[in-house]
Amino acid sequence: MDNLSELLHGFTIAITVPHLALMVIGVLLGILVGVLPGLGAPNGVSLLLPLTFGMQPVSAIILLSSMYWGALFGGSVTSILFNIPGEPSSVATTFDGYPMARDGRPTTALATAFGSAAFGALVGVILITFLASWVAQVALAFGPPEYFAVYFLAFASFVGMGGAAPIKTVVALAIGFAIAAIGIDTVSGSVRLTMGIDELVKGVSFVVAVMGLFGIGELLVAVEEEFHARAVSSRIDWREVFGAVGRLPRHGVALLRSAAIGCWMGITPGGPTAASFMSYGIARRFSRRGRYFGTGEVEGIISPETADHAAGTSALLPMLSLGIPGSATAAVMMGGLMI
Amino acid sequence: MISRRALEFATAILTGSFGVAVVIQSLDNGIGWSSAGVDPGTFPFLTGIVIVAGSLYNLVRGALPAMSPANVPIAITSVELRRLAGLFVPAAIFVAAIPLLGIYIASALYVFAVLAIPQHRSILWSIAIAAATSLALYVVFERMFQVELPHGWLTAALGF
Amino acid sequence: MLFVDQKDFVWGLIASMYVGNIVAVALVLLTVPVFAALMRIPFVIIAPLIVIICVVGAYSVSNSYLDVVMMLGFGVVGYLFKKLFYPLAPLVLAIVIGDKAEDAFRQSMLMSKGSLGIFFANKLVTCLVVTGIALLLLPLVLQLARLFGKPASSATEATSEEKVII
Repeated sequence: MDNLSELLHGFTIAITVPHLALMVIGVLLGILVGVLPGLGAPNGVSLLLPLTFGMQPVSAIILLSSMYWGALFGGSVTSILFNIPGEPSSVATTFDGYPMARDGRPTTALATAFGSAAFGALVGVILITFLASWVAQVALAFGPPEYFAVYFLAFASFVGMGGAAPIKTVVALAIGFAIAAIGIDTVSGSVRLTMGIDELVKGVSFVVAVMGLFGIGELLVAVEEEFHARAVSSRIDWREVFGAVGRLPRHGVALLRSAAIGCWMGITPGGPTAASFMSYGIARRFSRRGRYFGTGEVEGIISPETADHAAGTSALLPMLSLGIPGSATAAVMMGGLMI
Repeated sequence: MISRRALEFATAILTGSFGVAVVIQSLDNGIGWSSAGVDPGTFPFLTGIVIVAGSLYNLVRGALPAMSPANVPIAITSVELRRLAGLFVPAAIFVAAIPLLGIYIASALYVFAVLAIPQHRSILWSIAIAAATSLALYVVFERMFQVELPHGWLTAALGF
Repeated sequence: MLFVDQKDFVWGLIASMYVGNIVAVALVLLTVPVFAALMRIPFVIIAPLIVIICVVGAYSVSNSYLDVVMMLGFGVVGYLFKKLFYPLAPLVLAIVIGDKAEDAFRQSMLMSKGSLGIFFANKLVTCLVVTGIALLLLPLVLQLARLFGKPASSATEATSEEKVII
């Protein structure tokens, strides 16, 4: 219970008027950064760093971490509304979020995503509060075989279900692996698969691939079908927002399972992306409505979002306890702490 | 009008030739096992082989009409093709124009063109939306987040 | 160790994460109607804007024009794949964590001098690998079970399921 009193002391530091104001500013900036694809949370946090130089360390980290929250939330917005995932970890959110928004329920989709994201993040923070030192030891025990096993698990839980022709799935998977291999090989340092183009040495960014495949691809499908999103009622309906959040507890099993997957993947650190894909895959396998996944299922939004944010948050744990950043954003934030 | 068979064919050839390129490229990095462990070319080589094999299977499967998964003979009708071109061609021209005009001018012209030429909006409206788009891009990226977007040769030549 | 060195700072941060989370979710829920309203913008206007956002996004990743051209190429591939029911999700998953998985595998092989036994060397890793294999085989087993259960009805399902591929 030592941690608890420390936490209460921490609250007295965090809940002051200037700090709350900083949080609001940070969150709003974060949302903006998250919504703009390609900018991304690590980028946004690093852009804010110069602002924090004159501040007290505590104020600075509050601004940065609330920006981090905003960016995490904002990242889901374009995924759901336009099928453009700004970050790899929100790709899995498009699978059901976008069909639901297209179906005329963008409010429900967004509110569900935000609600479950908040739940995931909260579980992550609670984990940090109580298990910090113990978990740090588990993370340290991770070597290459364990990493491979975690990634293998992510693939296994995701691939092999779904109604697609198996050979087409295999081809898609293999193409993905080949694209991932483009550029400098981190083990041997040799340059691979650049087809003689020097610029490809840096590799193919997932943002580039994902925005083309999902954003532009979907746009082409939509224009071909002469599809127009079903009209959204012009009234601002708060009941729909809070109704969607209020219905979340009904999916308690999915929430808890996804949070557990997220925390585990965040600490180990398989990362938020692997976590969200894995959580989606497992949800599709175990949900009673699994066969409807991909058409706008609520649990298809809850599962990846909760896991994504639980992982994103618990990725801060190795940073706080060991000084090892679990994610790119965490790395930038740590850079801010050092100054 | 493009038949489903032709589309399956084209896609299989596309993926297959990518696979062949991957196989050829990966041979440069060496495949197999050496003193430094698994050679860097091994995995790309294997994925390349898988891609080629899978593409061949899809090619054959696509060629046999009875075996194609959904028995829809026509994939894209000519009306749909025109709509696709209506979106993609301006987008491609826009991307091609970026190195010359820079992103701000190119995107303004792009928005103006796709709104005004098919007469979706009046000329004035189109100009307004185009200008607003460019301005928003400039304010958010160049000012707020200090991300340099391409300015283009033309603007550079004019001394900006 | 930050936890020991700077207690005030670390617990201030953790407390602010609780508060920040609540502030963030409150703010973001308030903005939902604003975002939802974006869906009401007519398609003819939103389409070029999406193209521009994708172009700018692709460019700003590493200030490279080649990325923009590749992004457009990926767009065509995405369309073709969607049209012909190739699944996009495995493709993206492989792009994002494929190289990390490969690195981890090769490093493990270096450690074990080429023996796959390293993936069953301790309890943690064995557990993970076995769970993974089980998850891979599960759909296969289920399919076989269904095949033996009712042999006739599966043919008609295939076409209807094509619509639900992600």
